[in-house]
Amino acid sequence: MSGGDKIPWEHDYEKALERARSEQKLVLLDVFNPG
Amino acid sequence: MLANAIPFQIDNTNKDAFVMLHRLHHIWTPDLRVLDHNGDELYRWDGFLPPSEFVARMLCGFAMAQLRTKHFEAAEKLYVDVLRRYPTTFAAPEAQYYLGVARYRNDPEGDDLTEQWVQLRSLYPSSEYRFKQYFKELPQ
Repeated sequence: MSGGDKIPWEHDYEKALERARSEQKLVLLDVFNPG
Repeated sequence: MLANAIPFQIDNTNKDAFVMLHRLHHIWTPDLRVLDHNGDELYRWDGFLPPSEFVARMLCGFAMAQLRTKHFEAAEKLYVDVLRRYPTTFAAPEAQYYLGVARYRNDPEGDDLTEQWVQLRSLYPSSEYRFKQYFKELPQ
């Protein structure tokens, strides 16, 4: 997914789930290859 | 666009992520998934898409997540958005199909399922989703 410098990506799985739980949101997961 | 989701990224060359990538059955990038707050997968797609196709696909992903968690009105709004803004994308037939499903699940007594699937036949006659509702056309 492009625009990585504009999107506040989480990089920790448990933190992403905890935020989703507390903010009542979904998680959008992007597995990417930097090469 | 991402106001209702936490963006979470994994570099598939990071050795610290290999266990998680194995658990996710990851095979190709970009690998995009919509998860609930327990980490359960509600939608997925992979491969690069041009911007309009990507946005339409992502909206369909969020819509399906709402549909699967029984937030039917939220799903309906997202599918309508896909059809209004991205009617020529590959995601549009899916949106047309599941718009009917969302409305039907919200109101099983209504006629919206049939109405949306008539639209599907008319607007997207060659799509996979048109064939998914083909049973509706079989002789009774």
